[in-house]
Amino acid sequence: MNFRVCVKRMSERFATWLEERVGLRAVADFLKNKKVPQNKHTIWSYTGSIILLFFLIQVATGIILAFYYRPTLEEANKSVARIMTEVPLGWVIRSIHSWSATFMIAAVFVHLLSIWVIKSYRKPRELTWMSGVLLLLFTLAFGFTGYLLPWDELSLAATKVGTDIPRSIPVVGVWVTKFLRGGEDISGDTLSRFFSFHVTILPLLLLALVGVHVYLIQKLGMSLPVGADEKEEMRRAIPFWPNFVYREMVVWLILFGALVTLAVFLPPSLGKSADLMAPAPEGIKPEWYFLFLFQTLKIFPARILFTTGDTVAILLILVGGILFFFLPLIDNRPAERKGKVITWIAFAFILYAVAMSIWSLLG
Amino acid sequence: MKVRESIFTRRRFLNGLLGGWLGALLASLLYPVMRAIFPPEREPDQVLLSGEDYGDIPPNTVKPFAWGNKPGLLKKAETGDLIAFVGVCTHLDCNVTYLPEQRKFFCACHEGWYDENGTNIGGPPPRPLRRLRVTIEGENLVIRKEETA
Amino acid sequence: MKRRVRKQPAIVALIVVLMVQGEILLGRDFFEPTIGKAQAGQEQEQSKAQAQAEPEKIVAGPKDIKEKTAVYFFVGWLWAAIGVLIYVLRLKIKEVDRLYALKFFTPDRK
Repeated sequence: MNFRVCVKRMSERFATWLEERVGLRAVADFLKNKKVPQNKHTIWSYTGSIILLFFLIQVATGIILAFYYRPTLEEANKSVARIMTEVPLGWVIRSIHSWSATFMIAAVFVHLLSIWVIKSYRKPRELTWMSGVLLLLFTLAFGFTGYLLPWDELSLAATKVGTDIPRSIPVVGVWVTKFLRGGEDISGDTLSRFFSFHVTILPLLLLALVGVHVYLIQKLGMSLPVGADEKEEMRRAIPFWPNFVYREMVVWLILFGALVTLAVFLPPSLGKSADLMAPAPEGIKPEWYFLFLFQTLKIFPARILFTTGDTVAILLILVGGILFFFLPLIDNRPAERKGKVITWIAFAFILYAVAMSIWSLLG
Repeated sequence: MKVRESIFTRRRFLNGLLGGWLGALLASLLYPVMRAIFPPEREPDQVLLSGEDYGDIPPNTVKPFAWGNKPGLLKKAETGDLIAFVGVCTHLDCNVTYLPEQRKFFCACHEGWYDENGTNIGGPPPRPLRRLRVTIEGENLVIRKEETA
Repeated sequence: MKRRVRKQPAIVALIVVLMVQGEILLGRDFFEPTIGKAQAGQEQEQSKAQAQAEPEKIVAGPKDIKEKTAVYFFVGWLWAAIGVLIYVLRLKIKEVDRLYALKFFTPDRK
């Protein structure tokens, strides 16, 4: 009893000492008062922290992998092989990194689609949506750049195709490809560049943008369904800390268990080192999250009117992307017919992406 | 013995369980991380040197070889005996060199001196150079760790 | 109520001891599979031969039956721990929800 009181008093004194110098009591008080509404949309509010959980796992496993990975042409594949065979439990760390990437991207998609359908992007949350779209792009960039690093045949082929696609963009396409590859062709410079993106540039950008995204969420509060009664919702809402956090922890634990189980029983293998001069291997395809885009490009004919099918496809995707980015400004009357159409577009998109992905896997 | 008041409240018990099990889970996850970050650094059990390259070095010379990640030094004494050292200074790990005219090993980092048998004789090194056992087996020289008494 | 109070510290102590013991045993068995007898010798030779051949594809995973058992054990323990934690968390959730409904934390308005 005495010991407990002693510890309590010491921590209180330390808290006061810290508060006099750092002054974060405002943040702590804010968090204590933050409330999470309980309604049919509440289940989707778990998705944000799920993304964060997997991202933190990526950072931790990524750091350990980066201790042993060597980003040069000659050593990349060998160093990954070393991680898988010589580093104690290296294969588990790599497997968790690989699976957590899939989980994180899946969580980002679920998060995004849920916001789209429940329309949380309405005023005043437009910037939250836009920062979110950028976060989606960065997450996909993480996946793309990371995929090349083992430097085996499959990843080299996927990167060749992936960095060639922007070439079809008129005017700037060639520059984009050159920027990504560090030259006209894929070389050791591409690997160094992708490693820099994956380990330095993208983490910094992502962290900065997550800061903006989370700040906006705290400032603007949790959104309510269209046409909800604010007073009633506030009455039913539960405190964020600790009530909602305990509920989130349950979800994290289950997902973490699933992640480790999959990682341990289905670890990724490693192909032999890629040869830049060798012909493309058969049956190359990108990671699952790019399959629907890959298939979309495939279905366009080689030439359309006065330009290539690729260019038309890319432009359509770009236009779609831009509309997507500005969605909150387009859907400014969500309860009316325009809003309902946009909801249906979301479902149509899900159907399209799933169908395209399955087709890509079969074909 | 019955007590009049609770030593433990249900609340503190529950909190203890939660914290305890979370701590156990995190600790068990920390273990593989530590293993991966601190991989076992094992020296080789033995190193084989070709008799051609290493057997015929002139007396009072030293020829380097790889002892795991460290430099090894094979020395032929005036008498023709072969002796091997781990060529790492016992002060702060710099690599040493052999100066044949002076018959001494020298560490340039802090001017440490060892005599021709590896005994530390001048400068900061606290211990002699580590010895390795040399045996001739067929065409090869086999370098092994020195037997501990 | 009073009798339960006396048992509680003992239960906590028992749980702590079991957890610590479990950590040590399982940790050692998983991450450094204790070498058996003749079986280990055979396995070492096999893995050496494998390592020397240039592999077309490197497959990750536990190599022998000892490691496989250790892996199954670890995953089993992980889910058991998660199960216990979820059980405890549900109790905590019920507790904080009840306290919130009773307005335990809000200052009394006079």
